[in-house]
Amino acid sequence: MASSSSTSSFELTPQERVGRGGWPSGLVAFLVLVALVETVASARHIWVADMASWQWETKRSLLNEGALNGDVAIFGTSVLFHGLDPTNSNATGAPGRVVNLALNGMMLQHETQLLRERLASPTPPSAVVVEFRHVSVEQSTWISGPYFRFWASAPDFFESRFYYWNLPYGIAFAENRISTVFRFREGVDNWIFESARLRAPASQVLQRNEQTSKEMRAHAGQARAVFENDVLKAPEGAPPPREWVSNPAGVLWLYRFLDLASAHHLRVVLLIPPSPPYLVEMDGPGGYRQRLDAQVAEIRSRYPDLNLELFEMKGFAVDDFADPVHMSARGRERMSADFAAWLAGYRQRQHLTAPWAK
Amino acid sequence: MNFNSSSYAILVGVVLFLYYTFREKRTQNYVLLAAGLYFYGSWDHRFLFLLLYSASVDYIGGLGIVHERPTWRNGAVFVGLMVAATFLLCAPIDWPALWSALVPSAAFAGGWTGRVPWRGLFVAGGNWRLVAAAYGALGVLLTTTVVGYRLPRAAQPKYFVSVSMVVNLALLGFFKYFDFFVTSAQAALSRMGLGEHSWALGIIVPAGISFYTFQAMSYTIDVYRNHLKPTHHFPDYLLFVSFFPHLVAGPIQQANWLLPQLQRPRSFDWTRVQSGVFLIGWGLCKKIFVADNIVRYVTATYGLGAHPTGPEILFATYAFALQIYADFSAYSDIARGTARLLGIELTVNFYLPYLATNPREFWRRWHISLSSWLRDYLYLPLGGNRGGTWMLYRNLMLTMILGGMWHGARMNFVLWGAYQGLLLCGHRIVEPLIERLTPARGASRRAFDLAAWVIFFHLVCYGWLLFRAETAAQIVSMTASLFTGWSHVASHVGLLAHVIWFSWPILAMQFFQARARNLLVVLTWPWPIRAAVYLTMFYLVVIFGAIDGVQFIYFQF
Repeated sequence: MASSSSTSSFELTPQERVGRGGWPSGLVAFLVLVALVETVASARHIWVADMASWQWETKRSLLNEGALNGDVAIFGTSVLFHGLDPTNSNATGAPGRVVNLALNGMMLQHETQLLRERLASPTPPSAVVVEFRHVSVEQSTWISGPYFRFWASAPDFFESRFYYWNLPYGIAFAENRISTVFRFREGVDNWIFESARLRAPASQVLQRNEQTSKEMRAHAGQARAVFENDVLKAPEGAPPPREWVSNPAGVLWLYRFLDLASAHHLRVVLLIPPSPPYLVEMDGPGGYRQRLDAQVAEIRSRYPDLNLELFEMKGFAVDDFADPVHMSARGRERMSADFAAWLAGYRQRQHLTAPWAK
Repeated sequence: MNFNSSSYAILVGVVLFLYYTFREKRTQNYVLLAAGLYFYGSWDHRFLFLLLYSASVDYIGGLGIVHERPTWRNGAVFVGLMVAATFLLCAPIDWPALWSALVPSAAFAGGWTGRVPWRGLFVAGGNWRLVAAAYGALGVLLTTTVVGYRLPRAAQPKYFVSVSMVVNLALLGFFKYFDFFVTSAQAALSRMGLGEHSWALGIIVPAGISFYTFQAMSYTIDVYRNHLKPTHHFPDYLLFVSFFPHLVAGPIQQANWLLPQLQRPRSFDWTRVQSGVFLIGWGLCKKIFVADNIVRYVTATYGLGAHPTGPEILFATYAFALQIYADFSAYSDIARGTARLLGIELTVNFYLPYLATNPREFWRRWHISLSSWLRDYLYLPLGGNRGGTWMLYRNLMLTMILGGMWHGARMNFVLWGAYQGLLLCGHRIVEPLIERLTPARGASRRAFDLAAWVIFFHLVCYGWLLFRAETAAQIVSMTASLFTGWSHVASHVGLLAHVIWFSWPILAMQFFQARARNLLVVLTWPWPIRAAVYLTMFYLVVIFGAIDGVQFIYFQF
């Protein structure tokens, strides 16, 4: 076992000697250095932030500064975030500003939390458009993407009840909030090697992120997808079925969303995004239409007083899609135009004048 | 539960909090025992039965060797607890449904899973053979114990140590080697045209069984040799076996080293705590930055279906040499660091092994706890170097082949062990010649040492090729391919550059450790340099580390 010698050196084992333990100056200096590095990284992370993160961050900044205050708030995933440009709707000059609050990877529970936040703000929306593509919440949607990395507050994340199932997610959640470098580790890695290759600070990511910020500001929260110039090809062989996906956790969070809307007398539009024309709707109780209708009927019976409309976008061609879910550039233009036209009718039906009355 | 996981960080945090809240030694031991059982049970709770059973055999064996028998009351309590634990661990209890029934509905709001419907306490159609076999094993333990105490007093020590050896080796043999030997026999019968058979049981090897079995055996042997007094307190003995920092991948602690530390009060020592924190940090850096990043280059070349050329094989084997060292020494460092936080000292397991210039020196530096165990409990009892040259070679070969087989039931581990035995024997043969040729001092001595190091390092690397290869056919094809493709060596330099990039911290650290002959040389440096080293280690892990929680290589052994 250990023995102390007459010198200040202390032998822990025959192969290990250390100075006698005193004030851990090295450790303290290390912590100070880490704090410095993290402060710099936090201030400069636009240089390294991946696109998805930057889009979430920009949305947060725009929300905080009031640039996304609007009467009609669009909630949804990447389908609406990239595909639904509110500029068309706002350009008509009709009352009621439309803003796009959708984000890639944003699921029902995140939308509910964001709606709760918007309703607590001084300028809440009076109508909400919710992407109604499927009604499901999976565990992975709590612990992935920018939501997990920085968007969610601790109370938000506690709503996942992660502590019943995997307590270490709490550590990963904290790590992401403590260390900016950890949060953008892949970006930092790429930036270091790219800068070494260029022998100068690599600025492509910075320029891209600045461009994204400008675009989202100009388009009321919407940003084009980098893949929107891809064009979908119909699969060969038997056409795949169109399916309605719903699970109990999804329904629970949809009801939480609608509970909020109902309590605040919001108008709600369930927007069913277009689907590729080759998908086949099967008949019978398990078929898409039957399941969708049953779900909508259940919602209507649960919320008889809610001002609720269903808007299903139809008639899109294969080349309106970049992939089986997302729109191509052409599809985006058409989707935005169709939505603007539908909204004009909606305004008339609902007799809306600015500012929209709840 | 991996050391490089958040779960382990939480476990250590909770243990440290409780450990230093309860200053009384006995309570601290119960905290450590609970942590060890939880740690091991996190792989598969049924494996805990094996651990308990193995510990019971050796605990009773230790007492029997010195003619001590438990009181009827203690014996009854012990048997009652074992019977209950066996049922809980081995019966087909529907734990998910039980757990689900206990969890509030709110837990499911996250969409984690659907509530598992309550179907009764037991899985319908569950396998009760396991619980029957476990009770059968308990019956054997009770019978052998009763028989032992009824033997003449003079025969008892040999009887109890034999029972301990037989049971431990039988458990190890069954779980690690049964399927291997059965499959080999099947293949042989099939080749002889005696039909196709399928006798393999598809046994899952319990994590760390080789480690804790060897450790348990050291206890009864030490008691038998009168090097150690047996412990009367079963929880202390169980803690010796299940001490969580080193439970599944060592360092293997001999009973006369660890057990006394667990039986006396520990105090908080700031110097040890600081060095423990450093060992954990450095271990994580080696594992997450070095080993887990290098592994992809090794896998690409050693994966079945690859047809690598000589340079690829050589560079991938360098990578594997660094990977296995970084991985295994990282585990040892984290284990030792964690133990130090608890005021317990585990033995050093690696001492700059790749600086060795001959096989004897290598085995004094590589996996020291295993080589010491093999020396003390196998090589020396076989006769060591007493009994002439041929007996020495026989003992070296036997020890190293069994040491190779300890790693697992695969032909390449046997070949690796035999190869290491041959290196040791060969070195014994040429040692006088080497001594005669070694220049006394000066530049020629340094050149001679360098040449010896280069040659021996490549011999070690060839051993790693045997160790890492997936099949015997791959060993043959890789050995044959070693000398091909060298005209295109430039196209593979990128692989070597990647390996160097991911291994530079370990190479740099070894340089300073070797110069100072001190594994903790960093802790002797001025604080600004220490802070810079910590910062580098930290951000290498944070930015470049493979943080997917890759399992440690030696977990499989």
